[in-house]
Formats: sequence, C-alpha cells, structure tokens
Amino acid sequence: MVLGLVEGAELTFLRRSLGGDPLEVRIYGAAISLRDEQARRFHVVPHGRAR
Amino acid sequence: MAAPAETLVPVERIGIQRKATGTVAVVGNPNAGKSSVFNRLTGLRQHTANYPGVTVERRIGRGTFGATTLDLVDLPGTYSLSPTSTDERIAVDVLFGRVAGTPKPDAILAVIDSTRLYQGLYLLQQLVALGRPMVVALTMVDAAERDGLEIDLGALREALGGVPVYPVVATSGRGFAAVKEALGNVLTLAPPRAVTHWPELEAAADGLAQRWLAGGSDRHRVEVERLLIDASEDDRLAPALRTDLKAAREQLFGREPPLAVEARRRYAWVKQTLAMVETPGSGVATQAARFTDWINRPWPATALLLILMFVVFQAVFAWATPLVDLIDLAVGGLSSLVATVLPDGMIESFVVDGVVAGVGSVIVFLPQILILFLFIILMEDTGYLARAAFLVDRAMRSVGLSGQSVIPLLSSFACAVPSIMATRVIPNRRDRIATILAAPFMTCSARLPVYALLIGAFVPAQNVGVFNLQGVVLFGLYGIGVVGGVATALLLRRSVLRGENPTFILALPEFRLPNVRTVAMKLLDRVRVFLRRAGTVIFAVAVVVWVLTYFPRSPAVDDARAAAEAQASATLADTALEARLAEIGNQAAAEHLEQSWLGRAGHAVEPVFRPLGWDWKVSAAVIASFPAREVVVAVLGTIYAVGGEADEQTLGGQLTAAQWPDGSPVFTLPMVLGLLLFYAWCLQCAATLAVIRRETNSWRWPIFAWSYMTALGYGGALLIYQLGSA
Repeated sequence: MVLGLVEGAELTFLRRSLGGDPLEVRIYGAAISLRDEQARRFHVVPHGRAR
Repeated sequence: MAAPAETLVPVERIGIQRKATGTVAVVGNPNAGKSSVFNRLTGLRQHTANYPGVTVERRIGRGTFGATTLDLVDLPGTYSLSPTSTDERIAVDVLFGRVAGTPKPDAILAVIDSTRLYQGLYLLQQLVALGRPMVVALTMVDAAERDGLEIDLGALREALGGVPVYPVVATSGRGFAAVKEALGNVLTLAPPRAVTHWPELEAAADGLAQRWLAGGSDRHRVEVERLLIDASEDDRLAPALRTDLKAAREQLFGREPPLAVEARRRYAWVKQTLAMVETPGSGVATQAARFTDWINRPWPATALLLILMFVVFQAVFAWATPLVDLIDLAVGGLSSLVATVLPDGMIESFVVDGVVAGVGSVIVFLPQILILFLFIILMEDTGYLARAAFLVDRAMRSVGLSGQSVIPLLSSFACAVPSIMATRVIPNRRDRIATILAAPFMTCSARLPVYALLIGAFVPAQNVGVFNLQGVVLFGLYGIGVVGGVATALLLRRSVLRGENPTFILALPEFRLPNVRTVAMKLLDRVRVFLRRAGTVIFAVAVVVWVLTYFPRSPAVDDARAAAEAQASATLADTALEARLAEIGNQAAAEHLEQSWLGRAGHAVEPVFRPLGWDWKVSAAVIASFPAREVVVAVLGTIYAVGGEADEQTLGGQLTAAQWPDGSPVFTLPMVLGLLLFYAWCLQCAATLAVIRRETNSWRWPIFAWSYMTALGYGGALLIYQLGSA
C-alpha cells in the first residue's frame, strides 16, 4: 500500500519469477515484486499494451 | 575571537558537538541514493553508532555549507511516516525528536529518486506537512534523462508548497553546488506553505491536540495525525489519550484500516501531481534496457546467480589464501622473534601462545571477511540483492525463509559472522531470526581444517564409481549442514516463529553502478564492527584457552624433561639429537596439557562423551574448540604429542594409532563419522554468538542457538557411533 498499490493505480506486468511466483510489476516507473497470495487480492482491469 | 553569528546561537540548538549550528535529517525512500548524497555532503567527517536498544545504525556527519556548519543525520530509508519496520520507526522517531541522544532535526533534506517519483511524492507530501524548513534533492536525473523522462521543477516546487527542488547525480557530483548553497541557508528558510490535502484528518488532529494541551500534553498537530493513522504507537501513550484516539479513528476511518485509507487519500494526490509535473519517457527500449530485461528472466537470472556465487567463493577461498599465508608467516615470525627475546617460561608462553596467537587468530580472518563484506555490499548497492531475493523467493519460502535470506545464507558457507550481519536487509523479523539461526549450520571455512584432518586420516581414498570417497564424505558434510539449517528454519517457523508475512512487497530497484566512496565507507564500517565485536571476543577466547591449557604447571614434568634432555645430549648428536629433543619437548607439552585444567576437564567430561566413543583427549580438544572450532587441530597436535604445528599426515598417523587402555583403536569409522557430524552441527564459535547477540539484541537467541546446536551435534554423533558400533 505504501508503495502505491491503490485503487486506480496503473500497473504494467513485467514477468514471473522462477516457478511462477512472485510477480514483478511496474507501477509508474518503479518495479515491485508481489507474491502470488498478495497479487490475488487485487482486482485488475486489463488496459491493453502499456508503455 | 568567535564570529558573532556563532555566539548568538541558542544553547539548545547546539547538538552533541560544539560547532554545528543545527541538525538536518536526510530522509528518503530506500535505494533513492540517500547514503551517496549524505557521503557527498559530509565527506569523511561522520561517525556511526547504533540507536539505543535497536540494531539500526545511526550515521551522523558534519558538513560546512558557506558560513553554516550542520550535523546531518542519515535516517534509514522509508516509504512513509507510518512505519512498518524497526528501521522506518527509527526514521519517524528521529523526525519527531523522540530518540534520546539525537536532537530533533531543525530542517529536512529529502532525497527523492527522480525515476520513482510516484513513491517519492507520497513521502514528500507527509514531510511537507511537518512544517519544517526543507530542501529536496532529486537524484538520478541522468537516468531520468536517458529514459526521456521530464520533470517540471517549478510545478513540483509549487505542488510541495514552495519547497526548493534540486536535480542531482550523486555518482558524478552534478548539482551538488546548488544543494550545498541551499543547505547553507536552510535554517532560515521559510517552512513550506501549509497545503491541505485531507481536511477531515487535520481537523480531528487539531481538535485532539488542543484538548490534550489543556491536559498538559504538548503534541504538534502533525504528530497527532500520525498517531491517528498508526495505531501501533498506542501502547506508548497514556490511557486517556488512547481512548480519545480510538474514538476519533472510528469516526475518520470507520471499519477500514487507517493505513489503507491513508494510502488511498494520499496517492490520489500523488497521481494528480504526477500528471502535472512529469512527462513520461518515450518508452523506447535501449540496448541496456533490453539486456536488463533479458537477464532478469528466470533462467538467465539463475545462471547469473550461480556464476556470481561461484566468483564470490573463488574470491573468498582463492584470493584470500595468499594473504592468509602472509599473515600466518608474519605471526609465526613474530612468535619466534618474541621467543628468542623473552626468556623461556610463563611470560614467553603467554605472549607467544596467548597474545600473539590471539591477535593472529583475529587478523587471519580479515582477508576472507573483507572480501565477503565487499561482495555483499556491492550486491546491496547495485540493487542485485533485491533481484536475487525476487528470483529465489518461492524456493526459500518452501523452507520457511524468504528470498532475502539467500545471500546471507550463501555467504555463511565462508563465515557466519558477516552473513549474520547481512541479515539486516530482511525486513520481516521472523524471517530474519530464522535466517540467523540457520546460518551457523552452513559449512564455514573454519570447519575445513577439521574435516580435512579427519577425512584424510580415516576415509580411504578409494573410488566409488567415478567419485572419490573422501570427496563424497566432504560433500555429504556440506549437505548435512544445509539439511540442519533448513530443518531448523522450518521447525522454528512452525513453532516459536510461526506467523504469516503481513505484506511482503519488495521494491526492485534498477541496476545501478555502485559509488566507490559509499562502498568503501560501508566496508570500513563493517570491518570496524567485526573487529570490535567479534575480534575482541576471539582475542579474549584465545587468552582464556591459553590459561586453561597452561595452568597448573607440574614441576615433575619439567624435571623429567630436563633429565631426558640431559641423557639425550650425552648419547646422541646432530640431527638425531635434534629430533630426540623435539620429541621430548612434544612429550612434555602433552604431559603438561594432561595436567592442565583443560586436560582435567577432558578427563572430567569423558563419561559424558564416552557414549560417543571419545576418550579424554578427544573430549579435551572438543571442549577447547567450543570458543573457536579452528583451534581443534592445534590442540589435538599438542595432546597427541606431535606439537601444535604438526602437519596433517603426522597428526593423522598419531590419531590412527591412538588406543584405548585395552588396546582397541579410539578412532574407529563410526566414531570419526560421529565426530565429523558433531563439528558440522555444533555452534563452536564465540564470534558468531557475539554477533547473534548483537543482531537480535538479546541473549535469548544466542543461548538458544548454542544449546540447540550442541544437543543436535551430540545426538547425531551418539546415534552414528552407537548404530555403527553395534
């Protein structure tokens, strides 16, 4: 949350780690890592190919 | 005569040192380049200590900017003023002047990464609200320019209530002249204009602050705002204040967690501001970006991790060897020099075997530890550590650890001391403790001499298939260490350290070139900590072991030695005489050792170790190696009367010949395997215990680790010997 994963934030999916978990996403320029169990708690709307 | 400006400074403004006229807190997100900025501004005039009661480092440096001398406090990196870790809590406590011995900062230098302005603005909004004079250093603008990212500095300044913003590049020093000039005037700089972002919160905090003021509790509105959001502070407050806060929280946040509401509110502003001040780059992938992307894919990244670790090990073991040999040579030379200068006797023995050997055993570790520290720091500073953590997080989690445990654990294959110090990067306390307790199981370099001696003497050098049996056993011992460590971590996470990771979200910084100065300073710092904490313990232990092996002296042994020497001199000559004299000397040393407290202790505990197949000699050597396992080979050498410096073959031969009174061999295969397992699992290292004490800030964990590992080693050795001998 303090990293800015809040309602309305735009994410770019980058990759999965070894074994598919955790995920790496980019949020306004900063890459962060999310474990599967946490990523599941977010509701994400696809937005097309982002920058 | 002192300058008038100095004499006018109010007394309470003077920090812990005389000449600084104010304190400036250096605040920023983790990995924003805060330390590099701090180092550029203070140079070498800084000192490091721990904050009271915690293992968070407090770095204070002094800098002169124009006519003003300021103390800069480098605060731990934080994403917000609602702390989620000890480090972040310290940062917030210092800002509010709640830490004893650290003056409340008069002004703030915010260090913000221009490529990650999204998270930077979140922190900035909260810092601006503190209402103190403030300057922003916008770092890594070279990277932003490369990406085509544009930031409107005027608009940013406006959004921050008039706080001046200076673009800098910490690695090259670009833009620092302006920052220094701004710091020169920072104490008289007007605080930022109050910008209202969250009227409900401010009104509630204002109300409470005024109400409490009547009750004599003087808290600033902003501090009350923080208390409203962050409930973890509550137990530090008076019950009346707690009730007030609870009521106000319910009104403000309803059933939602305050932190979530805060993030939503503040990030709404951040998004708005970002749209105004930042023009994103074109997104054209450069060669470098494409390479980073490729190397971050799972398989290339795994290969890179393996290669890196291979280089680290190669460096620790191969590069350090010449230095270690050199130190050994120097210590040996010093010993013989002292021995020739001082007359034979107790003083000579104390200086040679106690003091010189003690100092030697500390510095002999330095080359390896320096190299290991250097690699760990480089991995931290380039941002690689977070990458490695990301890569192996899933695998490490399956054994009860987290991705961030991987580098500390791998490092402890060389030495557990730096690796335990490196666990500071693990934010979750339970993960960190589990890693600290797993680390001493990894086969460190101090175990190798024992392994080499016993395997060389008792494991036949025959081939099993394509493998050499000795190699297989050595590999097995490494494996057994890993199994012990992993099982321990799993066990702990299922019992005393049970609990989920609340929110493990890791920031993955871009790869960046390390700053030579920052790396050198960190290295110096850690080596100092090693020498102070571990070094003093290792030295003290060497002296204590000397006392235990030297006293009490039996004159009968010396008399017998003198008689034997006289007889040898009368009957032998030249090389035969020399050999005989050395033999007599070693024999006397062995007899002295049997008479000494250590020898008596060996006899006394023999019944305890008898079920493991150990006689008093092995028991005494094992006892002597509890403070530092690497001494065992020298002690065995003395006990078996071949001298402390004997080579492996001679000593190995002596061990093979060792017999029980009934003539059966002491060193049978089950006994040797049990002894090896004992050394694999036991925590025989006072330096590691001292570092665990320091890093966990309690005696509980070192005592637990020691008892647990000793019990495990004893149990394992018992099992192997009894099964093997049955």
